[in-house]
Amino acid sequence: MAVKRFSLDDQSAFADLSHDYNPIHVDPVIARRLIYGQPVVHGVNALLWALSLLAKQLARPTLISDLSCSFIKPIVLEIDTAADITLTAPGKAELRIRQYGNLIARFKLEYLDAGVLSQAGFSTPWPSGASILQRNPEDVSGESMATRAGSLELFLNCAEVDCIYGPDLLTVFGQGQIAEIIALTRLVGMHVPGLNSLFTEIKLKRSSWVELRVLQYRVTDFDSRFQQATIACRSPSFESTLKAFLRPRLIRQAGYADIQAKTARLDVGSHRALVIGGSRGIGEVTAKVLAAGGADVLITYSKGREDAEAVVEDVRSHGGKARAIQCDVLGSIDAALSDFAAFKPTHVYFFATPYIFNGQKDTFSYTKLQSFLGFYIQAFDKIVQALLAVGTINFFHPSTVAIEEMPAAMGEYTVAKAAVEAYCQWLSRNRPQLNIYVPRLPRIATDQTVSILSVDNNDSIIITEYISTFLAESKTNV
Amino acid sequence: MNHSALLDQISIVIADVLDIDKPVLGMETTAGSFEGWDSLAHISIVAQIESDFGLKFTLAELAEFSAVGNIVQAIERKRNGG
Repeated sequence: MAVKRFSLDDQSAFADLSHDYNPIHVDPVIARRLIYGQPVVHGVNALLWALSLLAKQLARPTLISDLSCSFIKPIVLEIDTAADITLTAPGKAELRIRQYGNLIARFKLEYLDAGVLSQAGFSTPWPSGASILQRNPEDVSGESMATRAGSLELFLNCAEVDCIYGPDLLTVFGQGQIAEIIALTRLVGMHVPGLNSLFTEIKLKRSSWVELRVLQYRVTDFDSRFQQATIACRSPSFESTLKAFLRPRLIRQAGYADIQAKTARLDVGSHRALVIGGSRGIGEVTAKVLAAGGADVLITYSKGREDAEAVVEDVRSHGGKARAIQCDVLGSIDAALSDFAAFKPTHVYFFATPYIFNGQKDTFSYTKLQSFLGFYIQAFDKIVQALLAVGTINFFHPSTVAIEEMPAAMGEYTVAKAAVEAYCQWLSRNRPQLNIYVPRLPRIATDQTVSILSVDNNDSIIITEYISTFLAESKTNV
Repeated sequence: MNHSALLDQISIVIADVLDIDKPVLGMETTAGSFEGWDSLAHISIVAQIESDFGLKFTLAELAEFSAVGNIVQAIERKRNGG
């Protein structure tokens, strides 16, 4: 069994090799708002890594006659990723990729090893780069998916392949086969479904050689129930069928003008509201609701500067008061605490959180629990202590209905939120002057709760009801 | 095909998709019983069942698939012209 940790640098190197620059793989700021909350490894990158390990064992030129790939779960970065290879029968192998012991991807391979060096295309040199470098994926809608067809030029930079995977991959599997496989990730990540793709399956079979310099493709089915495309491909050596989801688009929260028009105006004209994590999601809506009520709002962001600036611009352009500052609550927070204290907030709303859907059903990770607690308790406690000194006494710290529902794969998050409730009770007991509101929020439509299967999410504007309750219980510092 | 035969066939699909030994299923068995049965696996399982049985579930039927028994009943309904 081999183990490696994929890094963001690995992602960039594979993107340069494949020209699959889909942001879910290479852009941490955008990926944090997508379905997995973080960049994930290209499935084909994991496949080639596994094939490079198999190549070491085979150690002779080999033709792939049949390859079946299931990309089952996202492969996340900086986590031990294990590959095990089983030679199940002569000419057959199964390769499995695991993280935390769970199966992430499975590849079944059938191969031939006789006389391959004379096989057409095996050693054919390919252009080392594309004639046109495209970095922005196409944004294909579900409606137009079924008619998509075309071709992509094939190329391969052998030096980059050797650099990423070592020399065995090309020595054993040849330039032609590898170039044809790599083109599949470019097709899915950049063209069909493109920007909002999620690659789940490859079924590839050797076919009679055709003198092509391109990968031809055609969408043969688009299952609107699952937003899943089936794509038939033809390249010089292979016929292949791919499956990929059109994953949900980025969740955009209601604009300030919409919120002004559709919600009851809160009477918060005298409030100075600090919204920790106000650049997106529930924090973003909270900031807009409060600004619409007349509050002077200070929002913080960790990585999403552009998102935060967009919120501020939206509020200000309609006459509201808002500004944004950077604050990584797990990082060096002292400068931000000084800014918070200078702002002298009357009310603090705490929405800083890591990605919450990262748990496993049967595994409880103390490391993940620590990460949640670092946000929800350690960072919150620092902010409370710093702001008590300037007289801030009203704090909104959301808990979750997950404590009652106990989702199977959210153990660490749920335990951390239960700890938040206990911590806030303890804090209230020892600091009776404080008003700490810890509502159990329902599942709300944000980046965090987006899912391939449709789920019942509450509209984020529901947060207004909880803010109203909080405000009704607010205390005035005397 | 009775319940038991349907459950057996579904268990083969689940074993293949989740890469596990063939499980013993009951009508009450849910996705929560299996580590790997998440939303993506669910779609793969449904798609494989549709392919194996030569049928297609509606969105309303899919929404009711909280337990294996719901899948069995939906297959039976479709086979009976429902």
